[in-house]
Amino acid sequence: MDNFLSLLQFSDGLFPAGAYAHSFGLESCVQSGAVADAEGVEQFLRAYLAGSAAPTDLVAMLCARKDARAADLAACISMDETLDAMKSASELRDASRQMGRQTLRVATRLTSDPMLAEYAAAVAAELSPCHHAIVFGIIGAAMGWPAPEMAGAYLYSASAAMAGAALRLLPLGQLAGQRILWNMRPFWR
Amino acid sequence: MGRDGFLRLQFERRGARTILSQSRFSLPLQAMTPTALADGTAYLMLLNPTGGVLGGDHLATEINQHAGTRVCLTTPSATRIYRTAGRPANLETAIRLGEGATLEYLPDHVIPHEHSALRQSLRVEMAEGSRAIILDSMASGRVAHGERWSFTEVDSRMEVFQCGKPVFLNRTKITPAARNPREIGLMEEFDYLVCLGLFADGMEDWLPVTAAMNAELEREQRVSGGVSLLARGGCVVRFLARSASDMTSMNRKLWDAARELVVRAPAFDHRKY
Repeated sequence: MDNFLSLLQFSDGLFPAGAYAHSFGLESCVQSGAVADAEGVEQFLRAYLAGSAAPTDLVAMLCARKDARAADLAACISMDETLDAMKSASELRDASRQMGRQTLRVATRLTSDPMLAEYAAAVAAELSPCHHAIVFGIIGAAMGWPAPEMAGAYLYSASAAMAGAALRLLPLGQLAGQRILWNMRPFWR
Repeated sequence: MGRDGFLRLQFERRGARTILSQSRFSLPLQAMTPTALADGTAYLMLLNPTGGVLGGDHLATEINQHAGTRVCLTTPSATRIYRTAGRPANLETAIRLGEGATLEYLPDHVIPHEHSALRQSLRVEMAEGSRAIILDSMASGRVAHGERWSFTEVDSRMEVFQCGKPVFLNRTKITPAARNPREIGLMEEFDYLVCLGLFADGMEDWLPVTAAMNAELEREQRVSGGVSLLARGGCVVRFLARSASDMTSMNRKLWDAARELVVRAPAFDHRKY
């Protein structure tokens, strides 16, 4: 139960990872008129989940979880560098790094996991870029989160951040925001 | 069923010039005799005289550039991927750049025909002080025939490493039957997709390069794209075009500008198009 509750806390919209400050490209699509309504947001979110979050961040997160469980810091750093090279759009790369650093800062104050502390030291020494997916994976290993639930929570968290950005950028109500999230459930499994 | 073909090229430095010191190939891959450009670059066309690639074909290209060599590789025309009822066509290219070597790799675009399937990979390993301009582009299909997004799958990877570290890892996988490429955030109304990577180990100031690339893109309203600075060692230009001529024209402008700023060489007559 403790694992489940900590997973809820770390993937909640209230967790201060800084996701609210980023739109992950949605803002420019709204400005250009390509996204103007809830259907457009859903299309954009589906493209983001299927084309970026799931095949890159999610895979990197699960690899980091596995490597952290094996106490393999070098492999976690290598995966962090790989993700850095995969994020060629500088805005998305910077957002991911910023969210990673903020999540790591909170996590190291809430827990005393040695692997997390070693990784934090590597980040402080600028040996690792500190992407959010890698930090989430290492925390998952420390907290004992099961991989399927952790993967679903990670994608839910990314979707909720995007839906929140959509509500700020477009004249959409709370119900529309919840419907967008409801329709994304097949992508979280 | 399918053909296995290979092409292995090795380049070495002779004084100020780069020479093709080894060339081995099996059909359908071939390489023409290089032309020496005024700046010492060996300019070479890579050929596939059969005109396209069939399902099950496996074509592997290996290029080895010794230290200080300057090589420019292109193709005389687009690569057609023919329909297949079974296995995909496989194109693998691996390029190794020695210290201070320069590569310009600008093949024409890929045209995946209806019901075709392609898996292609390009891996470039760059040693200290080396530089590269790399183009990867594709069409939605035989657009002039009204054939768009009717291929089965295109799965294309580009991986660039500098001194053993990854600097750019890109995978484009398009399966039109599973996801409509015309959706928002994907290709929308465009038919041509281009990714141009500019890489230089040790180069610190990329702002003039990104500014020049952005200026070229902004001058042409018929393409939509942008430039992004990588975490280190380069930048990437991506753009979408509605026609082959718009794409080709922009590719030439970007190539010429990149040649001057990244490779430190003047534009030249490509003797194609």
